[in-house]
Amino acid sequence: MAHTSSHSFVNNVMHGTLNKLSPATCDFYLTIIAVHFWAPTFKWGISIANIADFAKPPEKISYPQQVAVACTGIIWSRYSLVITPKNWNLFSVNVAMAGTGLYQLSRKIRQDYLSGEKDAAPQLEA
Amino acid sequence: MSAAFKAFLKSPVGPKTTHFWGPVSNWGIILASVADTKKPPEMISGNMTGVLCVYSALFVRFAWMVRPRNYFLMVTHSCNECVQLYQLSRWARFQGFLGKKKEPEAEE
Repeated sequence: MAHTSSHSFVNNVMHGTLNKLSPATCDFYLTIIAVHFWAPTFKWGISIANIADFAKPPEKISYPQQVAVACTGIIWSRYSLVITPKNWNLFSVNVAMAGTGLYQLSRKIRQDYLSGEKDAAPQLEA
Repeated sequence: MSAAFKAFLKSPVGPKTTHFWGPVSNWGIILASVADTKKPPEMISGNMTGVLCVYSALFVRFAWMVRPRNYFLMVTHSCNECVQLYQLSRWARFQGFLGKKKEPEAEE
């Protein structure tokens, strides 16, 4: 196994335990103890938090935050396809961010601007 | 143009690469949260703020460990961590998780 790592903890674990395993298994364990895996993986939490917030009333949605989440998602989705190699993992998480952000924005816009017209109309008639 | 600026332009995490413009887009989240500090705490989403705190902490570490080391991403997420922790404290105080400081003396 030709793994190089500047992290001494990984080196110690590797020499002690991992080089008794097959290269594929060794790769797997090295991946799941690395921040290079967990940081992008945890980005799914942003989309999951947004999905949990679908149940909240639209008054509580923050325009700046959802605009920022949607824009970040769109920009990173584009970049993940432009880099080599294409990073489909990064692409999918950012598409989810953009999608949930845009949906939250649509909920808030619908409440602020579209249902306002429905409420205003009966007043004009009465 | 100074040599340092030229070196920045050519850098592997410089403005010709996505390693620079990606973090630039992340500043949107930070600026949005700074704007949200002026809003009442009822509007803060505990889910989102908590997730962003963990997310930024992970990415500070990621930016440090990745090669080439990405100081700009590190600074971006350090700032986000500060704003999100502040928002989280405002949310927690509003929800009653941090307890009341002292009973108002008007009770007596």
